[in-house]
Amino acid sequence: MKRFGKSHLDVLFRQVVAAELASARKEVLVVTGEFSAFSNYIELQWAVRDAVMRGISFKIYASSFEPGISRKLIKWGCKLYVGDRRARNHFMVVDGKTVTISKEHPSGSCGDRHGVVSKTGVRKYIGIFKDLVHNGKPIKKIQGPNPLLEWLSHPVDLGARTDGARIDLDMY
Amino acid sequence: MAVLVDSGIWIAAYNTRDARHAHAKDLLAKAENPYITDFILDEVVSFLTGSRALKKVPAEKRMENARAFLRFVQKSGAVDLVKVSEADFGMAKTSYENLPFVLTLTDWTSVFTMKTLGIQKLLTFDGEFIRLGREEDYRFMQVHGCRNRA
Repeated sequence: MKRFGKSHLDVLFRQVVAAELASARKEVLVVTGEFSAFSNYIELQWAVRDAVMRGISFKIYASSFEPGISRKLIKWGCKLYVGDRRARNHFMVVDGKTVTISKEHPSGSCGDRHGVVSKTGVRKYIGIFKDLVHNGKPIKKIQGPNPLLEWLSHPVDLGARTDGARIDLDMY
Repeated sequence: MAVLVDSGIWIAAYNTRDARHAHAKDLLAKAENPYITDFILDEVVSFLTGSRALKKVPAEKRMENARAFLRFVQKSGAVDLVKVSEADFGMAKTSYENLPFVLTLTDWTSVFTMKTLGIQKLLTFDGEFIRLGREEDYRFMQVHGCRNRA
């Protein structure tokens, strides 16, 4: 068992999760709240994407997903499930061999994530995953309006004139 | 079809006061599967934060706009953010040093990232990409959004 403590910007958590994802060979199971670690930490998005591109299967249970995040994950081929039941500790099982447990921390905080990576008790967590998925429901379709068109319909006034064709000249 | 979107297009689409705002919005609205690289993202955010063009805009406002763009890229699901690999950066640097095109190092990383990921379409206002696309090794690129600079 390897412990990781709280760290500035959750650097230890991020390193541990990225390394576990890089080691995956077959399947990753995730139980989370809003999957905010994926939403907030870009290198973890890349780690998931790299694993998907290697052919790794992802099944993710959450109490909710931000629309943009579910859109991205479904597009990549991940299987998503949502349900009312929340797991106290969030966890990720890689290849049925290791479980990374992120212990309870304040929602939306950065720097409070801590937990363990363990090779024991993995079956118990697979069982929790299956139970949550059984009582939840799958998200199969990308939902909501096209976010690019939404963004394009709400441009901003940056406060000055620019010319997109000459940003190299106007950069400095 | 996957399409890589260059910095100038993002900035022009974002800023209602950009000279090419309407054109950029039109181009992006037709993009089915848009991509951005980490290098392009850095270029956009650097421009929004500290460019000469925006130097009279209050710093807090510039930071707010740059952070909003970062959030859009990371959380909206509208665009795929991909990283430039070490190998592609190496190819880009060698090309920047040796080939007779007026392209930035970031531009070259776009070219090789497209090649690696099989992205054939590029949205850009930089006409030099059209000139490059005429070369045998770069004919995989379909360049949209600009006129030839040469």
